[in-house]
Amino acid sequence: MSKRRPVLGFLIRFLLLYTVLMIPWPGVRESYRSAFMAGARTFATLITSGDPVEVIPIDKAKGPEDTALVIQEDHGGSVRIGINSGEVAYFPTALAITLILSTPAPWRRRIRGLLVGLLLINGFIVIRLAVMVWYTHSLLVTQVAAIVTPSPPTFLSKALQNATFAAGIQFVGVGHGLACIIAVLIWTLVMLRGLDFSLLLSETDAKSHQPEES
Amino acid sequence: MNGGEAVKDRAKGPLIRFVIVFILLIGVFYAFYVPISQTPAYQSFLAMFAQATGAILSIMGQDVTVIGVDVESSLFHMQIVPGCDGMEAMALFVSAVLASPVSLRLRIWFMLPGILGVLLVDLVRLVSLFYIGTNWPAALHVMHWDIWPGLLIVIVLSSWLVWARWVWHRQQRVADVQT
Repeated sequence: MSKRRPVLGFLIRFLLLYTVLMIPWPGVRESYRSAFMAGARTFATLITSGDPVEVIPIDKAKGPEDTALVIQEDHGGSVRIGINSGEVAYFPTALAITLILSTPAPWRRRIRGLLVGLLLINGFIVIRLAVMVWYTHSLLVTQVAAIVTPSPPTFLSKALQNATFAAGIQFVGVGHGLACIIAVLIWTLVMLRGLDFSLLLSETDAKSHQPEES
Repeated sequence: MNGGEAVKDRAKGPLIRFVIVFILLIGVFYAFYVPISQTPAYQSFLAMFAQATGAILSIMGQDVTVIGVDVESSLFHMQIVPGCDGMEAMALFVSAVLASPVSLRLRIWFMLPGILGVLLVDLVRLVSLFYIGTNWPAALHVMHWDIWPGLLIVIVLSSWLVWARWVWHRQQRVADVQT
């Protein structure tokens, strides 16, 4: 079926594998969160130019967030942002893994794609964390500045603040939309080869190319 | 360089062009979408989604009230926010189609019904989330954040792949006729 109807095969494999990865198996998400927190701690400290960053677990019974980033400033202020490691990191990773492993390609190519794909998706997660830490840190700086020189926010500054929040947190930080797009982009980069793509779509030389692999 | 390598090299062109155009289009989308989604005018657009969701739920026998971007019943309350509107899935679809190296006519022909399809799937998603929130609240978070985003993406991607294969078969037929 998969050879004759590769898209249907891809769809079925995707649904099966995605379901398996998204089932809350005991211990899997907890282990992932521990690894995520260790990584987050390392990168958060690197990008806040020395301000102490704490990455602490949150009791999930109190809400969807399971991890908190707390940034402290020299003047004594602190900002805390709650994140869900599942949404920020596990989801894009699972999506990328599923897309890559569901592709109708030889296993060797899928495994190679998986290794490169995991590297790239973790790069994206690092960027997400960096943006969130940067945003949290800038919030702290703004708070300190507001205490030192209080002034009412102008329309422009409020609009800018909203747009920054939207870009930083809503879309890059926790949004699933961009995570999905990045996962698809990574899948394109690691799984589609020039020749396959040319065979799939190109209007030129459609007959002259022969399929490299099924 | 032997003949096989030359073919491979030549074949890389469309893929590289696809990736570059795809990234550019997604960048343009976010450059507009992020600030616009924060404006009061965008709330009116989201309110249309709420109205459509409310209308479908009413047809299905649910007693719901729609106020602005809120859809509520006596058992469940749902708010349509930027990100719930399926715009990013649509951007993925439109960017993938527009970046594909085929004639503009084929791209436009597929894009228009595709956009409607994505909107429809997003409405199905919203209606299903309302049902799940009403009848199975414990599963709402998983369905909202884990299951539906993946489902939406694989639907968009599969649609694009089906179209791409249709285009390829079409080229093959044209090439057969020519030879």
